[in-house]
Amino acid sequence: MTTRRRLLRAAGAGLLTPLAAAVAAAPAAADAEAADRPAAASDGARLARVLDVEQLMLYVYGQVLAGPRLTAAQRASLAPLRRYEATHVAVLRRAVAAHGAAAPPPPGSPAQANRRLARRDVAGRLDQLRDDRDAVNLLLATERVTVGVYYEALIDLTQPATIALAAQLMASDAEHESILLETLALTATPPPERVDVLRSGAPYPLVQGVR
Amino acid sequence: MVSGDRPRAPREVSRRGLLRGVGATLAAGGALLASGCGASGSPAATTATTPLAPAQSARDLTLLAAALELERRTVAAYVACIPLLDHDDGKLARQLLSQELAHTGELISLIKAEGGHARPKANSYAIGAAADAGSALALLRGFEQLLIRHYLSMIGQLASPASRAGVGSILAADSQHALVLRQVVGAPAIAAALVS
Repeated sequence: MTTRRRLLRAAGAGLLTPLAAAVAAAPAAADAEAADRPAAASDGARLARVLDVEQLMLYVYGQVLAGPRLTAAQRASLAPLRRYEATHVAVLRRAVAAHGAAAPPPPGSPAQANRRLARRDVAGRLDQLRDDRDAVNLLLATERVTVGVYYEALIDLTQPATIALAAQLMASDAEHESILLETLALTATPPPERVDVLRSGAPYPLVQGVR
Repeated sequence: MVSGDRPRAPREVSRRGLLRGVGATLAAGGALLASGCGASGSPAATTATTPLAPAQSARDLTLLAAALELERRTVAAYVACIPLLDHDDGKLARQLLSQELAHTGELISLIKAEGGHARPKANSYAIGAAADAGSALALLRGFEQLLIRHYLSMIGQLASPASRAGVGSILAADSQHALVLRQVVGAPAIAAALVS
């Protein structure tokens, strides 16, 4: 059963907050996308789904940072995020293995990564980046999908330790969103005031990603 | 596809307006928190369609109530500290205060959804002391870090999937708050690969 259908039933039982009820009212297209995903029967399988997206995120960072679109300052600012994502992947691979689940293979080429981005409804493709804004927007869109996968994982996971890990990684990717939002703000002409750059790093009271 | 990040416009208000806003937002004329303190045992985590056992709901309500009190203390800290900040830092802090107020609202909603009632806001909260902008920023950073550690310690114990998701989205936002406050004082934006 899709996450949306579970939430709708829960909404009918009066168990949801307005926030989760809004999630349940998502367009029907979300159901079609969810139906294509393999059933996550265990925490290991659920973590493997999260790992799949984190590996895509890591690959996209690698490609964007190695590519020609970012400025030197942007590259220096965003390079640590790639290292942090590599740590996320390593942590998740260990967790997936500890649960006896199989780790999905990471993208092996830009074409494979592009297909995975398309499957996740991420706007932008690795071979279609025209400038630094496109590059940063692609990273931001992918981070938002990653945060959204963690948000769903918090609903589906069952073990306290894996729930806590998912929350920790979700919060970490939210930090990456902040850095990317600030990097994007700095591309504006004229450059914004410093305080407005910082404010752009924490724009929303609730961070749920994109699903 | 659902867009999950919900924008809320930051409010620029005077100190008196801040205090009025805090009072109006946090005023809760409801009854005291329902019984449930001291629930024992580890909660069996549930899926979105599994009804919670009474002991699980009771435990969740205890955890959410504690989180709400900490968020309320954080709001009080922002209200007290903002007048000590310069114009730009005050502008940022008011945005973060607005979001912390939204967090208290979200926690109250989660408590209600689990069949409980949020305890009324206290008349005052122990927040420590700040005499100038530097100590004010340190105090606010401390509270954001306290929130992060608290949410990380309790989220795995929540039985309600909706509450876990709600708390996760608050935690993620507070992580962003901590990040921008670190940047204000010139500290590294991200302290480590994993938030803690």
